[in-house]
Amino acid sequence: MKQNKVISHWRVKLSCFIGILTLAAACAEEPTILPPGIVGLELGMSVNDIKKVRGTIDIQSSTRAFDPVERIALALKDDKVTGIRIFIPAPTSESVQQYYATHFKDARASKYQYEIEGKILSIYAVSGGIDLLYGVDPGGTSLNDGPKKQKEAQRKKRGLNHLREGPTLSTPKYFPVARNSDGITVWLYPIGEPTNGLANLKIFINTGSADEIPEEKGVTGVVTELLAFKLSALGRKMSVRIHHRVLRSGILFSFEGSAEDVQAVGVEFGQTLQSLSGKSVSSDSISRAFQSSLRNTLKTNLDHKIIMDEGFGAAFPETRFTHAPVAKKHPIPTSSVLTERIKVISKAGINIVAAGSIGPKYAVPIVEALGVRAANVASPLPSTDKMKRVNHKLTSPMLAIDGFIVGTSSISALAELFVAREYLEAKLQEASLFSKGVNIHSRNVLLAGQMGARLLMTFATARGTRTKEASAAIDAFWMNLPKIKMDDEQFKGIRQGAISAFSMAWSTPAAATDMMLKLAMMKLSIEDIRTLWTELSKVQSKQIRELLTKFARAEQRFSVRWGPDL
Amino acid sequence: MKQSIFVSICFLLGFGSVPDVLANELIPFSGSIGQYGPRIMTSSFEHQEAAVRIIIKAGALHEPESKRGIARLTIASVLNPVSVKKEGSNIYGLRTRLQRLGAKLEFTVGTHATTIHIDAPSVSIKEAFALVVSNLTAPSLSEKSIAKTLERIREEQLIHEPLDNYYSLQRGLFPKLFTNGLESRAEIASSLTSKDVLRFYREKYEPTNMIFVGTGGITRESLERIVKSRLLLPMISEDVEKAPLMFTLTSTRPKLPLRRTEFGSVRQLTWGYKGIAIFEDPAVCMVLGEVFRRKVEEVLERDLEMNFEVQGGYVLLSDQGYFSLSIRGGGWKGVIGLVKQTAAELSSKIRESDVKEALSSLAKSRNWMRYRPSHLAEQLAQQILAGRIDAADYESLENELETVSRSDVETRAKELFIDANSFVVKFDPIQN
Repeated sequence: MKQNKVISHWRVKLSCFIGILTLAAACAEEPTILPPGIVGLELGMSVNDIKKVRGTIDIQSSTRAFDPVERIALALKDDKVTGIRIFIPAPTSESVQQYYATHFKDARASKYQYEIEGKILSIYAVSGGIDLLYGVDPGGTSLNDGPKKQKEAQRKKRGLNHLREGPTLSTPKYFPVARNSDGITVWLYPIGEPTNGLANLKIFINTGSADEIPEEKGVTGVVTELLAFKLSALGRKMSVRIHHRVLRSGILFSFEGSAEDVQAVGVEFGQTLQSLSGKSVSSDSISRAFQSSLRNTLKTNLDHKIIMDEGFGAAFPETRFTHAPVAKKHPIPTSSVLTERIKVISKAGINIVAAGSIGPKYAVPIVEALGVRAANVASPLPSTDKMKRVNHKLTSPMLAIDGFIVGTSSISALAELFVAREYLEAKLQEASLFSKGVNIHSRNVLLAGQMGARLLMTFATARGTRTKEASAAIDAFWMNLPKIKMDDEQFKGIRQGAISAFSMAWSTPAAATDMMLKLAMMKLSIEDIRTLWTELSKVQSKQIRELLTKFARAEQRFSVRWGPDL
Repeated sequence: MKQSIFVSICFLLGFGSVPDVLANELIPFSGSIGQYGPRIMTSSFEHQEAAVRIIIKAGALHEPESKRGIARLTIASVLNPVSVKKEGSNIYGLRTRLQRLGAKLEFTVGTHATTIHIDAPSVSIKEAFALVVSNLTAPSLSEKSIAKTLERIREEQLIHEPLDNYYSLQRGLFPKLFTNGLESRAEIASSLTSKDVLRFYREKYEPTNMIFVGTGGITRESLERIVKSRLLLPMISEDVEKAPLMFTLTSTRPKLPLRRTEFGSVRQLTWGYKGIAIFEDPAVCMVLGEVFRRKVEEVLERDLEMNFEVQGGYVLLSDQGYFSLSIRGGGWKGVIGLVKQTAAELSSKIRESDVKEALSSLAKSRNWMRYRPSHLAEQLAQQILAGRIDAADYESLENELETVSRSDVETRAKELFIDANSFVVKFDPIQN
């Protein structure tokens, strides 16, 4: 309990510090647009939790993306709520001003009383924005001091003056919001105002090739191709970029284009999926879809983004995760097999992640089109005992995948993995395998999730024919990893790098949905993302050493090699 | 929870990462540094990421016949991935330092130029760019390091993502220069030495041969300042006679698919028509290219009932404009016939709705660029290599697009989509 208090105290300090940095960055950068984002209720804080602190619900909003009136009305329905606090930065855009002018009348007045459902809402103008206050004043936030002064004072107080200001971003600007209903989880991450600008939508159906029965291998790929084919004309008409993948743990569709077009394609996707389950498909169509699927099979297209799936499957031979989604040896599914699979897919749980110029109700029509679904049940992971070292002989350049799986529900452990990822990346660079006669072409360290587990793996390609030497050098690198000395200054740089990478992941719609999906596959909640962010900066070099000592050992690691002379 | 309330407030005070710029704000600035200095082109807008491309006119076509591979060896040596930490110091190699800045560095050796690609967070782009420029100015080239690099690139077998239409077209047109996989070993002359590298570097890596492109979160001023302060290469007078290109382009007539093995590549077919007098009306050609791309994809999917991904459209290379498509997915039977048939149909009639849709699609893809500094930089670099180096070119193109009519497009199609113009068929089957 005592320890918790200490941690909590640290959290407060650290969060304040981070917050002030953000504030400083924001003020220095001359704001041009308003940030959207709701925290509080939407982030999964329960009303009780918030009450414990101050009896205040913290709903924050800045644009019409999040209808504050709607949120307030929702909160007021809860009798236990004693207060609401909304902070709105000074509206700079005309449309936003218009919005508040309509809903809050003269919200820019220094004080304004607004009545919602019989309760009085007081609106105060504060420096830098408008404070809408109902009930208890949470207080404690002084915006009077200049941000630089505050930052300096904080740094001095915390003895952080010596810290180099790295080229990293301070915090992700906003966090996503979530909804759950009828087996569909929606994570929305608005970037900018909902102005029909760029948006990226990913729909992940939680049933993949690993859920197929052995005799029906390949059927998921066929269904996916059929769906993609039916969407392509609309996608072309609306200039929406459509991509699809069959992974072991699910089917992934990605749509990118202007927000409204993407939404329309999303709705069409839902309707197509529902209508597919109601009719039979001709054997000609099945055969063509099978051929298409075969060409998109993972092994023929070593796409970095899905190499995690490939590596994961390859690390577990003789389990249901082994197979590529479709292989030549698989039989072309019959119409009845296909229908049965479509029925399962059309009822499976779904994760929707969307980012870009979108509003809070963005996914509503898509969710409606997708229909009611079964709750999203996590498939069990294969036991790590079944994890093996696998060599595949191929007449090709060498490809190596090494990694380990961490089964933990702790967010601080996940933060360690994020930092460890950067650490491994740096150490791989330093290891200079080439100088030892090994020609490593590219290396990536990936952090991924599968069915709730977190995986950290390197993905290396070695050019040339010296596959055995390359393989041995990569093994040696992993063996020596725990012994490598960690220089404090370098570690700080690495940690900053991890924080920066995490921040950057929220910069474009496609990157943000990738990150959200990754986190969703680790079975995290939206609230966890916020925690993760604060945990990242707490990671110490000692933790990384311990993590690598524990997991980088040969018996804990999985290792897959493709190459000509293995 | 207290802290989360506070942090939340602070988050809200953090302002937007993605800029809300209008499409026409992407029209770049272009100019040069000093009378004989390098050209620069920038399209700056507020974004968390920034992209820089350094184009050096030292491509595969500048290589003497007996020194095949020298362009690649030179750039690989200049950006040598020396990553070993020196004993007792904090000096790291270029790659490690760039990595610490969150920057990605790549290079491409094309026909007419070598391009260095730098993508980094806006906060660190200046530092990353300065590091690369310093390395360009004073690379650590030693006999030993060049020998090692040579050994490395001799063994190169590329595992890459599917080529985009631009590179795929270049390789289709110059198959001898761009073979890949196992064949690449034969493509690097056996006689290359460190002296050749130094000679090539001294001849080609000079400021007048370089063009700097910056997009997203890097300003023109920063880019200029870094080039001025870090590019310490002698800026020679323009009077000096330049060595001419070693090759002249010869386009190939249609032939049977060229089979090649590329591990890790998906099947891809590149097909197209070369343009004639393309610089006269690039806007019309862009629309025609987009109509062509969309139509081919539509016809293939409709008639073959399979998913196809068709990339490309109107592509500018240094000598010519091409209507080039890269087709992926689906099966191959009947594809070539359908592409030819579609081109023939387009040359006889183009519908108003096709032009309208193509224009809307082009506008949408331009809007998309606002969020992708890297793609914008890539596009600018390609246009520069095709000789469109002035900002005025972009501005006029933007304006001209609005005035393109169906009849203009149809006239062009009639002129260009004829058998005599069709140029290349390339077929990259996957390895079995």
